[in-house]
Amino acid sequence: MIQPLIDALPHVLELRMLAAVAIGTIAGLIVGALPGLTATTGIAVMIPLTFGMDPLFALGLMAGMYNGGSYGEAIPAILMRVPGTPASVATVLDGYPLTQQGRAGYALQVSIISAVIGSTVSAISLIIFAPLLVKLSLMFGPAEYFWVALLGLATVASLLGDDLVKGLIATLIGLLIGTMGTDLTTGTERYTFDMLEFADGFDIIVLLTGLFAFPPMLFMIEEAMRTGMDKSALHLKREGSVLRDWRRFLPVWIRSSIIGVIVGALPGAGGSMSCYLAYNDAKRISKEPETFGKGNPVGVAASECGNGADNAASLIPALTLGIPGSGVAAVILGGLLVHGLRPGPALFKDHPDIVYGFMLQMLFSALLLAVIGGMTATRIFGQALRLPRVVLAPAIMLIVTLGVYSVNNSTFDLAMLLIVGFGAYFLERLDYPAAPLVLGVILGPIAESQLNLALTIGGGQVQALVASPMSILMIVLTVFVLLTPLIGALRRR
Amino acid sequence: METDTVALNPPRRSAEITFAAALIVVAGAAFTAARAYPDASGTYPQALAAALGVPALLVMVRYLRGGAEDTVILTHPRRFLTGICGIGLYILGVAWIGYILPSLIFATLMPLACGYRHWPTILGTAFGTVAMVVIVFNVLLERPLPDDILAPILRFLR
Repeated sequence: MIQPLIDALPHVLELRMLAAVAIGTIAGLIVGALPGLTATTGIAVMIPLTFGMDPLFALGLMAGMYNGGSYGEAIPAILMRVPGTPASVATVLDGYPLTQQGRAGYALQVSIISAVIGSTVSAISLIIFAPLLVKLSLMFGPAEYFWVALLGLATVASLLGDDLVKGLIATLIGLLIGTMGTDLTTGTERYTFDMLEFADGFDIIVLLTGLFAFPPMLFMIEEAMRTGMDKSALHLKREGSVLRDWRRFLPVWIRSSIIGVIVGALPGAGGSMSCYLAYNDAKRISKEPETFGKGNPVGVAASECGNGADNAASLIPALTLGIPGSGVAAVILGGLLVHGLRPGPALFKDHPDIVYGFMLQMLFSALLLAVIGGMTATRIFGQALRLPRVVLAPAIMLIVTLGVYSVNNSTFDLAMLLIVGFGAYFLERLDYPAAPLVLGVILGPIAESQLNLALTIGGGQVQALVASPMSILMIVLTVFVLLTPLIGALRRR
Repeated sequence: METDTVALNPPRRSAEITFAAALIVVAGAAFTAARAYPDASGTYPQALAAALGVPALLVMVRYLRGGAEDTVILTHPRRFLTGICGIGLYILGVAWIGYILPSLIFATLMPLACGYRHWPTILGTAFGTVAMVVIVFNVLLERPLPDDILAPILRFLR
């Protein structure tokens, strides 16, 4: 492993290769920061453009786009409460309250440093632990994935909010929405109302935008605030460096990185789940769990670190087995194939300079993110908040409208956005939390499909669900996550 | 000033009860619809629908017994109506005549409707945002815009 790394390093350090990583990171930040566009979209658009280029140059662009795009989603999530993907929902929970408290600059600083730490740990894990983590990921079958999904759903316990019954209702609404579309096991269409648009289920981008971006826009119009955020709120030096508080964040960075790497390395489980698990873990170990969801920077750190740690780790099964750990990893696999590189063990043997070069580029792009991301997020995107709210709200609407439209090129999605947004406004007014709803929509279908698969493989025997040590470990973790808030409450009494 | 719109602004208690009742109706409808699905596809949504009805009923009972502060739902009903109607008309406009014109009109009229009159900021933001969105989505990333009556002009410019 060391020799291929040493051989790849001079190529990666060439000026044009570094420029590729930098261009990719900048493009990724822009794409990620615009609702409706994701790193996946950016890489998919980029692949045809890279045809005929040096493979390492093309992969440098993709590595930068991946890390930049993944972090870029945090910017509108924190500043405007617009999560571009489910992976940035946990960032909204504490990031936006910090913005409302006039600490947008600090929230962005926490998010960028946490994302850089997570992405760096992830890239190092990709380099060092790839073969080992592949063996771990191969221990996961449908039964284990079912329990992983339940573990993710158990994190709802930390997101329910002050009113447990309303939190439970929100979760159940999410799970019910998650059943919409064609049931892949039987081919039955459920709750599609004979509309083709619902055949693949309710579009998650429409749901996220409606749930999180719409209510604050209406609040801004309702309040008719004719002033914007004070310039000082975006001033980084005002609250000092986040690194000065490293003792406060270090345990969260370590734990969230580990969670992100492990979840990212599981094929198909990565993406949004790691940030929820990391957020839940940070809240669980916190001495002040009641401050989460109200502007605790540790919540932002956990979510962004978990999210960043997921990035390179999701490439572990992609590069070594050809199984993508996330949607972005799937597109990158396509990018490798375009350049004649077939993922799998042979890739490491036949093209070690490229595969290890790509791993190093993931590492460099993570480090570049600290410089480019910090500057872009605070000095450019953050300035939008200085606009008067009555002007900012329509501007956000213009961006999310085209963002939502561009997902499926459908005006039907715009009508759905209006309906979901209207409903979300009242859900929020009545204190129903939105995060458990999203978690239900994302994890419900995974849990159901994996349960069906596990039972089919196991001949309908329920024992198949608890047949492996990994399943039992997941069950223990799920029970532990569910009981932690209860134990905490009992202790406080 | 807002008293004439109080009919549009129900007390919190009524809103909670109405919303919980609506959830029970939705749960009932979802349960009934799920009974028509084959076993393997129907059991899970049926269980979820039944499970949704129970906490919704709990919430309704809680507020029927008087568990709510004496507040209203909307802080400014007129502005809320202006906002929701404006957004609704904007989305209709985008569907019918394209993205650019409705966006410019919406981003200009909405601040005016809220009493903001600083024209350079309003127009700068409206034109700047539309230009940025069109350049990034349509020109750089080649994502299609909704069918636009200004499409011939855009093609000419490109």
